[in-house]
Amino acid sequence: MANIEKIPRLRKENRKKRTNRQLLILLLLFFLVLLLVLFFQSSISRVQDISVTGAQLVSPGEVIKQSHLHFDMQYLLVNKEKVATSIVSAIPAIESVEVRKTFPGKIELVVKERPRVAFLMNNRGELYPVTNKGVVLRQYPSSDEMVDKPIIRLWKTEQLLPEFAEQLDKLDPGIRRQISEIRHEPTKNNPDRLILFMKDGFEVHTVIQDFADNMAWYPSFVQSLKREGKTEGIINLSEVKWFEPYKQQQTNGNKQP
Amino acid sequence: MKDIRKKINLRTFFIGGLFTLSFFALIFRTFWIQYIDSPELLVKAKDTWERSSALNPKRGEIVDRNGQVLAYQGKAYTVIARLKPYPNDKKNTNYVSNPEETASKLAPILDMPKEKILQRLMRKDVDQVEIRPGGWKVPKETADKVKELNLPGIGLYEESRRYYPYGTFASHVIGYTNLDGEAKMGLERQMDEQLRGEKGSLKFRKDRLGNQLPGGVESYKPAKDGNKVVLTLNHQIQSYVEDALNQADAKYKMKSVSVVVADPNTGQILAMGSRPSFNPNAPKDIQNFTNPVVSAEFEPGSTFKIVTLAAAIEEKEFNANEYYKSGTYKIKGSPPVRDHNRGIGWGWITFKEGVKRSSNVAFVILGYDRLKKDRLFSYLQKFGFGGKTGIELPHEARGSFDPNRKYYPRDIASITFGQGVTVTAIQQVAAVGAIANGGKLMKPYIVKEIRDPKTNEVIQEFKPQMVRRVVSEDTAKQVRDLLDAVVNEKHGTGQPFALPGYHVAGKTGTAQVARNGHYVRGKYINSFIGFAPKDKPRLLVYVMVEEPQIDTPSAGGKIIAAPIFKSVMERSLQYLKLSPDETDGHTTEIMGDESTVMPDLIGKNVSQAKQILGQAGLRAEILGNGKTIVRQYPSAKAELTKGSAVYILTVKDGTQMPNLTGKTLREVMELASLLDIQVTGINGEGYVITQSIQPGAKVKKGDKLAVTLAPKSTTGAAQPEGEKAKKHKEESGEQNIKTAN
Repeated sequence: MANIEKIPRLRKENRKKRTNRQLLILLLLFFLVLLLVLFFQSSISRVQDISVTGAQLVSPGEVIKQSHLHFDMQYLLVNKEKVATSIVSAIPAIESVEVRKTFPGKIELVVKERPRVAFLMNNRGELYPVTNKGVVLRQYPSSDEMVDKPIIRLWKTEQLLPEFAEQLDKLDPGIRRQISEIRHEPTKNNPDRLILFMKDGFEVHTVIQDFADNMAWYPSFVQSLKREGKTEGIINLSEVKWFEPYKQQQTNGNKQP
Repeated sequence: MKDIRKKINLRTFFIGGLFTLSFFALIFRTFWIQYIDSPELLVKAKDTWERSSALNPKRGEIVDRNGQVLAYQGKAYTVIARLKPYPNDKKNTNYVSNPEETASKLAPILDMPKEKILQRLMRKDVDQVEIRPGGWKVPKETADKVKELNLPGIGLYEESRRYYPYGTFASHVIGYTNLDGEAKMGLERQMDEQLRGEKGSLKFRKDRLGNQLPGGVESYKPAKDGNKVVLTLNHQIQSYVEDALNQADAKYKMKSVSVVVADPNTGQILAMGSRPSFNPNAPKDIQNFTNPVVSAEFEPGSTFKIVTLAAAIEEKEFNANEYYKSGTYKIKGSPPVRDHNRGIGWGWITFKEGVKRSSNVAFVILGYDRLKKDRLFSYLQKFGFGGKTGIELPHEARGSFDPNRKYYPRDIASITFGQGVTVTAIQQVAAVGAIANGGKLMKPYIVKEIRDPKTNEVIQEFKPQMVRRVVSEDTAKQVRDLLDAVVNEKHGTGQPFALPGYHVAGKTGTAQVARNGHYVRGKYINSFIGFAPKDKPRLLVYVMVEEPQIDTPSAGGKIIAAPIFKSVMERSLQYLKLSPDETDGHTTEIMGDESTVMPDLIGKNVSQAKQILGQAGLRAEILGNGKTIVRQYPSAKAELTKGSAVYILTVKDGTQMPNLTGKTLREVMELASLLDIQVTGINGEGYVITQSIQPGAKVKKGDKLAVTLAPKSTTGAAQPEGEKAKKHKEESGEQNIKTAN
């Protein structure tokens, strides 16, 4: 019986405690919202500084423009991946972008440019870099740059350039340095035909398919020719590999199949 | 009161604790399985999956000597159709509801008449059918097309089948394995035991309903994949043979044409092909199920004279400068032997002349009159006629020669020049190979190695085998010289087979076709067997044309066989000339110390720089006459090939122009950027022949340089103007290349 009397008393105490706690929570919530509003209104929450590093060919302005970032935009709303993909998809010269965010308000775009494997020369003698994906970067004519890549003088079939660029990228840099000019001269039976002029005086006839593998033979091929005391000439490096000195070519002209 | 409360509390605590504890245990166990045990469990699981698929062995590959795959086992798909609705799942509409439409859509893809497909789709007695034969084991491309149609009730079932990536390519040699997996012809059949592998087996316990019990595996034997067979064939040379055969086949009509390419020094067959042929991927209308090179017996004609000649020389019965009367040779009681110009002959000529003109009379005198039957026959036997060569190809024939048979004198006389006796092509390849290699009869073979499919280790290797020495080196050399005269001297019958630049030796053969003991008019077998280079033969090529249907069938050798022989021989020799597998031995070694790194030279003085470059194996081109280096190309740490030229600049301005003649465009450009001058005019391609700023002239920043280049392959000869203009036009065509923006 005494039990029943005791229970209501207990409840009263509970209610008092609960109202106190509710008040506290409400107050906290209020201040929190206030703080949030203040934060988003202030300049701390906004992009204050955008910097670009690692761009050589592409100008920082271009990168920022394509990133769709601008000053005073909400810092927290900047999506790293979105920024990176929008830059990479808009500028073919760029392979990847790393977006680094530092609070408050600092964004750094670390650009990695695509390796450029060759230059394409047009008939006015202007040079354009070619990326390892076979894209010709026409908006960046290289006038003052050091010409440190093979020069493509003639390219007939545009669709074959990506495949070739990929092969060229795979090629050992030491051999790549030996190549002076590249000419794509397809014939009816051989749409892949390439003629290369090498720095050491040899003319190489090869094909786009397995170009890197075939060219890998070049140094040892030349080495063994020199050991045999052969002079300069034409080296065929396709599935078939043979050598013909220049003189012979002159005397019995078109003997080759 | 208090006691009761205490009790309740205690119980609550106890039960709550128990629940909590068991929850923790559960979480802990889950965690354990997911993270700690998982790798082990995954391995176990994979084991079970693999076991079920490893029971059927994979048939071994057939590859050429360089590892080029000629036959392999790959994925294939069978098109299946669900014909009726599912009885316990009425809502599932994945069955053929409209056979008419389904059939008409499938017909073009599966290359099967629509009616035939429809007939299958309309079957009432079964729930599901395979659409055979058009949809049986089709390649992935076809399967993808079927998938794209997205027809209800049409599905694909993955299987495996044999693929021959080159199609009609040494088809009679490789043979084929049909869709049922039965080896049907050629090496597929001969080497079936090696290729097939062994089936695995899996025994397990089952419950009453036939379900496998967990952990109930009783015995398990994994399948053993078939071995890889490496052939002596060379894919490249074989493709030359196929090319030549295709051209001949397209141009002329004949019963058959075959080509064999062998290495006479080892007996290895490098290529073998014939027409008519078939595509082993879809073997249809195969006209001849045996390989004519090893199974067809025919009269060899004059190519056989090589053997008679070798025997006569070895037995010292031949004197090249001795005279004899050509035309006819009389044998008692039978018609005389006549020379091929209707028995007129060429009067009194030397034996050498007789060999060159392929005079039958000369060989009858040598073989029948001087060697006589016993000696002649013993040589024929030594050369391997009348017996199998033992090559690993099925259905090898022996030919009709049998020394124990009774031959009439006239028959023996005929045999000396290759008539009245039949041989196989492979016998002749082996016999003439013995002449080419200096007198050793080598066993022809086509399987080089058997390798393990997984580790690629050699299980069995086949080495060149000498059967016996048949003639001395000296005799072989004399025969080769005479055969050289046949091809390369005036009056030689083999002149159409000569190759400029190579020393070909060989012999033509023209035999009439015999049927029922009579020669058939106008039907000939033309052949040529030759090797090159004459004194160190690397290749032996045999061409046989059977019953050509041309205006002068007896000239089939000249018209059909010669172009085949020449194209195969020339292209193969060129291929072997500097084939990489020869230089293979020392390539890696050279490659090792071939590359070097560009040192940093800026700020160093010239003599120091020269020394550093010398050590690195680089050539220095010094520009200007200053003392210290101000610029260099390429920049430090660039990888270079030894012996390449690098540029170092010693003064900032006013350098002398170097001589550019013989340099490449890239070098010119590199130099130009080093000297800060502009290259404005570039004509031609290749190597510099003229330059606008003369060598020695001082250049300053911003000067303009023009160069003219020409390839060395036309050695300095300037291109004709017209062609140049054309080239420029072509170059402007390149401008439509995709512009990136």
